[in-house]
Amino acid sequence: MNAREAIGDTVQFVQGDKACVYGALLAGCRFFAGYPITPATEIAEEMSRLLPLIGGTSIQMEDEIGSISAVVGAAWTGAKAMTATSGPGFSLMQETIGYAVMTETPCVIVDVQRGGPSTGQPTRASQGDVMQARYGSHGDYELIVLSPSSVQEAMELTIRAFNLSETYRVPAILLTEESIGHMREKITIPDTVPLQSRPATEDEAAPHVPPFSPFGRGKKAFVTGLTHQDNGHPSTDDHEVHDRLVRRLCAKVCENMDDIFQADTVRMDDADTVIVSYGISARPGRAASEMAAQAGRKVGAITLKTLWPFNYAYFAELAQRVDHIVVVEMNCGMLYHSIREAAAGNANVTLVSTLGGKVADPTAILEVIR
Amino acid sequence: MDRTVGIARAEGVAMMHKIRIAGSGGQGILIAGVILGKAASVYDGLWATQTQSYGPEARGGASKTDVIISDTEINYPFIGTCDILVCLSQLAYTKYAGGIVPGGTRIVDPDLVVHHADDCIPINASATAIELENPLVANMVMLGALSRLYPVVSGRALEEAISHSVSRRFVDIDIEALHRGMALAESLGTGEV
Amino acid sequence: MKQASELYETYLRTDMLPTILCSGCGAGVVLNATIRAIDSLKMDLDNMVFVSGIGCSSRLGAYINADSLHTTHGRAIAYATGVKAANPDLEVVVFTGDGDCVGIGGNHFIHGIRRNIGINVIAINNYNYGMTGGQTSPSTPQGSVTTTTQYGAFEHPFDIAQLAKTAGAAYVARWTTSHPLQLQKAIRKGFSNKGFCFIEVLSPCPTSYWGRNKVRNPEEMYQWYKDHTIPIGRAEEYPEKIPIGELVNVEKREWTEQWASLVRKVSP
Repeated sequence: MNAREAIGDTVQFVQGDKACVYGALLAGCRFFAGYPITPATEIAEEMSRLLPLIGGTSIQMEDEIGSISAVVGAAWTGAKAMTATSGPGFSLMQETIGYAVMTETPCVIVDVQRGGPSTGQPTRASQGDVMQARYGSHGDYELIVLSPSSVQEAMELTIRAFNLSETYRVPAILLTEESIGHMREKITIPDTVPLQSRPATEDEAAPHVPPFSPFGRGKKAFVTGLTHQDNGHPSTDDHEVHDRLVRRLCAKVCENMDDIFQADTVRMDDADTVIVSYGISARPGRAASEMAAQAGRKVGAITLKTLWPFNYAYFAELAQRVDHIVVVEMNCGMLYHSIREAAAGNANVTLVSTLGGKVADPTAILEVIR
Repeated sequence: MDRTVGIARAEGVAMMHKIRIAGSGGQGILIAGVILGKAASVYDGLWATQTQSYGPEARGGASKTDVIISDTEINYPFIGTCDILVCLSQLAYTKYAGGIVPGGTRIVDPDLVVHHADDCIPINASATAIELENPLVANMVMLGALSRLYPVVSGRALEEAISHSVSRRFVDIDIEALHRGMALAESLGTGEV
Repeated sequence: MKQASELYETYLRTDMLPTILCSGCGAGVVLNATIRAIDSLKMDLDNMVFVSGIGCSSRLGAYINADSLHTTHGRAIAYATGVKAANPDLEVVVFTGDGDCVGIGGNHFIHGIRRNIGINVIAINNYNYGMTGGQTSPSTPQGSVTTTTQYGAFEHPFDIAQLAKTAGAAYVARWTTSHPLQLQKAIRKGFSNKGFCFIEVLSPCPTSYWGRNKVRNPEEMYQWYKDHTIPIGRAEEYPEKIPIGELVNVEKREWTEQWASLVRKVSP
């Protein structure tokens, strides 16, 4: 049975967590390792049901560190591999996410965000992991973080996370929230999806991306989290080796911004004000834009699908075009700071911040615009 | 000022219904919401969202699910005040009865919600379920009644959704309960049929 | 027995040499025994993956001319579980140490054993955290001086092989670097067992451990391991000595075999 057959009906009414699993399987994911945690547990449950049907492997590890470690191990056999967790588990995974960056291991991590810090609000949504997703591991690095604003996008962006992770040999994080993970919506499942695989040769590889040698093919790969030369051999004392490696790891993500960055826009043509949001916060953002249009106002809405790498040029250009940027987030202001930095004073940047699992109310957003 | 209703109007949505089903744990509240949303979106070709309460409040005590059904894509998937409230416990009625738009519809099981306002529509769902020798199908009786009192979703779509959502051995009894609910609503001679 | 020079070209990643190991370190003996066991079993190096964590012992994977995954501290068994579960055809060997295996990585260790994933774990127990300069580890003998137990260690140490046995490993043996031939034989037997194979090797750390504990001559160190150990069959007669030998060798359904049969059962 192939993945598409295992997933079943073309049109379904499912939770975001399940849609993630569908996306992963369509993208070619054949290995999952996870640990139960609200509100991401449904992903592990669905993986354990579907993967054996299509000849894949699903394993419940002893903790989240074990889960991400097993995922990296599986990825080196050539498998497309994924784990899923929420805040506390995501914190535990950070060291190995850094390892995956350093060893250029393609893998996907789903973080279904809940309220933190600490155990916080297990059953309430939050966007409090936006900075952790980008900066959670030690050292300088870049990786890819995508954020879906609907159940349909939870599926689509999981597919995209796999494809980008494979293309650039970098961990890709699907940063979603309890509200998307647990909400049910109608999704339409494609019969086929575009698939990317990690580059096997220099010719196939994107700029700054080395070809990948999976284990068991006689390539005698040496993979280490230590600073290493191009052949993988450790070289921990030479500042030039470290400088060259780290700058390349960052460049392969940032210099491919045009391919990686995606945002949906509505009513932007003559907008003087724009609501910028992502994930579940984009829903009231778009609703507020629509309500403003009804009232004769020129208020556009931008839904970011790619959070990291952060597209400074995009927001610098936006700030030249509009007077006011309203950032809607379920945290104390995270992406807000980067947007304000990019705007460089050319537009007012205002934050609409909600906490505690409360998704911003469209009328509250309109009040800020008024 | 009711904000949520404001949104629906401002969006100029031709049709958007906000339905809340509430009761206590074990009554099949959530599956009723899932079936309603699935019927509307998958089998009637509309758009729907379904959210529910999780966590401590969903264990044992109160249970609640919110379903929005619309003929266009739904931006804001959360319900402040609902258009239709279906209540299967006194506790849920006490908690949610006030959160309804002016002129909204409240459907209650009078055996379970003894104290309720005069304008509530009584549907004897649990008594009907007991007649069917399966107390667990009261939720389906309510869905059947809802589909007649407030026709946001077709009976055919509900039947399809049931047969694709519940275990095979419950399909027949659930659909029978659905039909009994429809009949109960029709026998009232009230509502919007 | 083959000459070392014959094995050198075939099995070592020569451009990684010389090793980072101190003179007198026992890890080289373990590397030698492992390579000789692989050679005598005629295992295909291209089908083997060496996984390790962090520590002196964890550097061994780098020196074998095969695919190697040098990972994070304590997690090697979890990474190895991913490698083996995703491709059961690969032979997976984990090099680890006392701190890596039962300190930071203790939970992965007992759970790897519990699920009986078919990997081979060789733990080089040198009684201390050698790479960081000689701190106390979960296996440091009581009374030992280390840089973090300057007045003598008083915590009760783990008996690592016994821990593996109790957790349910399919194969468990303990030898020392003063018993290289027995060690090599144990590795051969352990690698032939399809389940979780665990081999503990007591191994001297001359730089960070023994120096502080008043044994400064390598010969004395090697003699210490002979004098303080006893074949497991006679362990009851010498309760003060460390039992060495084969603790467990049983057949037990391995994780990837069980997964494969589950897949056969449920897939249409």
